[in-house]
Amino acid sequence: MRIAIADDDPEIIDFLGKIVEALGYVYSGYSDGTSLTNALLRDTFDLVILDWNMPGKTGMQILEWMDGAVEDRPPVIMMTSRTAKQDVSDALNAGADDYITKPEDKNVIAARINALLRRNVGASAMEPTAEYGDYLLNRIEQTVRHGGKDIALTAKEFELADLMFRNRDRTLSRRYIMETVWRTNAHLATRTLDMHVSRIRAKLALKPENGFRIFTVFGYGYRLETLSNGG
Amino acid sequence: MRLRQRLGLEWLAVALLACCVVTALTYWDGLSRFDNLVYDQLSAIDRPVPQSDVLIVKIDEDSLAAFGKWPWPRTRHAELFDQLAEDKPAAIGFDILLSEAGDPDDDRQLARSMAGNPNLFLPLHFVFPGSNGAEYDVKRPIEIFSAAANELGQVNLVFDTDGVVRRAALCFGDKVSGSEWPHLIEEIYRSVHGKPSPAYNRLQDCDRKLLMPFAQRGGYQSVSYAALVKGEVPGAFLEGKVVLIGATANGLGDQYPVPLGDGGTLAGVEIMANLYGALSRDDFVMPMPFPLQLLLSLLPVWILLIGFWRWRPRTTIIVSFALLLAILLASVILMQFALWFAPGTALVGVILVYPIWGWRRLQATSDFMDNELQNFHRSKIDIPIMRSELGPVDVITGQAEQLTHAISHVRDLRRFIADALSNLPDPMFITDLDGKVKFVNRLAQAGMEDGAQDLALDDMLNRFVSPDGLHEVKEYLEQTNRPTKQDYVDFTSLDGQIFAMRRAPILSDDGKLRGHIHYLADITEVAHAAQQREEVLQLLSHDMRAPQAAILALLDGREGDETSGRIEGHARRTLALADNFVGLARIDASEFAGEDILLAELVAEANDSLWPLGKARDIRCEVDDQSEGAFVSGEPSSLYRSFVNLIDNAIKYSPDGGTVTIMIRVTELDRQPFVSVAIADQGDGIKKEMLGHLFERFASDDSLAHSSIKGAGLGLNFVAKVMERHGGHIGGENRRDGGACFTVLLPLAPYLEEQAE
Repeated sequence: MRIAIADDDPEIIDFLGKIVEALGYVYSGYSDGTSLTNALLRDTFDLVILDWNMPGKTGMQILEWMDGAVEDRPPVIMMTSRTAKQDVSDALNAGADDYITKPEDKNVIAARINALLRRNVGASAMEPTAEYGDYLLNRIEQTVRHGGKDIALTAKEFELADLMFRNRDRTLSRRYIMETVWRTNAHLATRTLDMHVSRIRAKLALKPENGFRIFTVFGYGYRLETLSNGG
Repeated sequence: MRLRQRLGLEWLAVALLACCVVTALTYWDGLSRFDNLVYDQLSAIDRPVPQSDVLIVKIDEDSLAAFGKWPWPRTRHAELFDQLAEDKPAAIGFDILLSEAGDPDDDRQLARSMAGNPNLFLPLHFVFPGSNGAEYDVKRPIEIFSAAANELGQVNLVFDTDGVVRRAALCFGDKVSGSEWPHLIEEIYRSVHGKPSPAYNRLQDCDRKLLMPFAQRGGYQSVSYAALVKGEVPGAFLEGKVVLIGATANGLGDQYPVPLGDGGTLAGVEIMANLYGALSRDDFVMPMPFPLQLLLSLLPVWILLIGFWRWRPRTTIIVSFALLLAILLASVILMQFALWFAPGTALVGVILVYPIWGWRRLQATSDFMDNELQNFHRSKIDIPIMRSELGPVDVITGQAEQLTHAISHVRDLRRFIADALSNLPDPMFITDLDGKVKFVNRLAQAGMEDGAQDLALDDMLNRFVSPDGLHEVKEYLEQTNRPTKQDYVDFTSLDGQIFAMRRAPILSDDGKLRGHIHYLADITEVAHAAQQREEVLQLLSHDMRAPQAAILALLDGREGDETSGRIEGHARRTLALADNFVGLARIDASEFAGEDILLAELVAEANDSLWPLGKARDIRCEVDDQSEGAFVSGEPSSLYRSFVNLIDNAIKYSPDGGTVTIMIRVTELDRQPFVSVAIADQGDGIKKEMLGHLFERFASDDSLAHSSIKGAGLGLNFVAKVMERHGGHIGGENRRDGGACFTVLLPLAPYLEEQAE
């Protein structure tokens, strides 16, 4: 796996590079937007980590440029110091696959990189059971086994939990979730989704102690994060 | 009162007055003297030719000279009748009263002589009032004469109020029941023609008097009584004629004033001759019946009254004179049709109504002008009204001059306002309801050589607003209701200035929409300042965060010695400080835009984000949620940050291994549903002197300033601002068993119908 890292701060490139190498991948660092776009034209990458504020071209400009210029565009993680809710949803809606605000823990970053590089997410849905951390999903019984107990979920709750586990550490848009679980994108159901997420969190005790946390990306969607130092 | 109403009332009053006067004058015949004068003049125009078959036998001065003074012995009359009997006239009317007996022998002789004339008619008369309470007494000739006469007829004369005989009563009494007394001449007519006269047949009752035309004085053939008795008149002259015998000598008193225009009198017998002539010719003039007379008298008055509303005064006066002539002409024409229309009242009506109306109209207009001018003086206008300094004039002229001044003053004022608007320091323009530009001030017109008058609003915008802002501006202008929150729209003009455009309605006195004022405030400098502020905030939020993030990234790879731990702490504090500072600075920059938030979820996530912090010091954070899915309407980022601040504080001030409890409940405050979040720690609590200043900016516990636990200072201030913005509350207190407790109250969002799964 080859990962391109663009950031105007060499410390950050160094920091991210170490994480990538620890995962067993290779990386190339670029300190400005223009050199990254040149590299993207010449070379193939499996993932791009983009800073927003860079000399040359900004992250957002590169994101837009990639849509037209790069064939079979690799997934993009936007990693920036901009924390405003509007910035996050803007970047995600512009096509970024994930958004990480600096500073972030290296384990979290590693998990998010892995999530995007994970393949055949759909295929694993065919398995009758799946294990995520301390959670065992039984797709036939539609139950989740955790802490020695079978937790009963409604059909929609199970479907939602399954979707989130399969896409753990990925940011899922509300629209995607609604269309996948409810097969509708009607906006009226927005409270329904909130309530379901809340019930899953409560029933499955998805909290840092158990190695997971549900994170709301305001104005965009949800992310089930894994915490490696949990439990 | 409005002028229109006042004039309407005045008009009604004038109309009513005119109608009353005309009706009263007609009813009481108040102008009969004038009318008679007119009648006399009109009747003189076309006098009838005397009937040739009438002969008057006059007891004149010659007769008196021949037979001595009156009364003559009745035998003298016997001689006359004997003479007449030989000449065979068609009828004889003897206009001498024979109602008392004389010498019996003489009476008998006369009666005998009378009997020799088969067509003799004798007069009877009435005495008013009658004896013994009767209405009248009938005085007949004594019996033997009555018996000798063919028929008796009444000879009453009808006097007008001026004592002139113009009319004749063809009968006396009650015609309807048949108990009337026909006139002597009518009886003669019947005898000669063998039937009642047509005029008599037409007569409905005896009270109706007919106007009779008079022939020239002395027009009827006449012979002297003396000459007839002496046999000086040839018999053929009398044969077949109607002979009327009566006194004409002045001394005998049988003389009456008649409308012959010369002021002279006419003998009763000649009046009878005229009556016979009128009966034969059937040319009586009929006085108009009262309703018709009234109607015709009112007609010209109403023509004028209605005309007052439509015509100018000049026309009205011409019409008035024309009406006067028309009334007289109507009298003349109707006279040709044997109808008498008395013109007096109609003339008086027309003459009366014009000046009265003119007076009332002038008065009303004058009062109105006075009133309006007073109002005008009273209205608060800064430019003093110029007073007329001319010499004394009449009231109306004075008012007219004042009005002129008022108008010129208004003109001044208009120019003043126009100048003021035109020189406004910001561009503005006014559109009417059709969206046409009706007024443009100097600045708004800049760069438009051809002016902007009557330009459509869209064209006006195209010349002013840069294409980027056009859509937004139009959207603002299309709003029908005025927005309550932000009643303006920002745009960049074609030459790069930034304007805030605001539209306000122009209403008429009675609240109807007349158009809109568009005011463009030049906010270029303000906008640039705001932009600079935004750049500073950007610098703080991003450019200050970036190096901190780099520091943390650098430290991440290292083994955790004490120094790197402290560096990390300082870096994180700087980050929090920047976040809170920017959050505070931005908090009121935008409108509150609440969205549905499941509060328990938000709190749980804020808590989750701080888990590593608690874990490092073995502090447990327990969330006790009994809010049952309560939603609040809020801004997720600032709320999230607030709870992070609060829980972060609780963890900071907790002893190692302590517990932070977070309780979420649905509660009520002033009967409004709220969601409460209480965050309690087991630390030392809040110092007394701090309690009142917890949420002030940079309030931080001094005693902790030197310890390793340090607050950002801005954190609680930020939380308080956020809660205020959400319509919520925050309070901090110490629990009885020690430890601080912060409670946040947020209004519960309205319940929505839960969507089916």
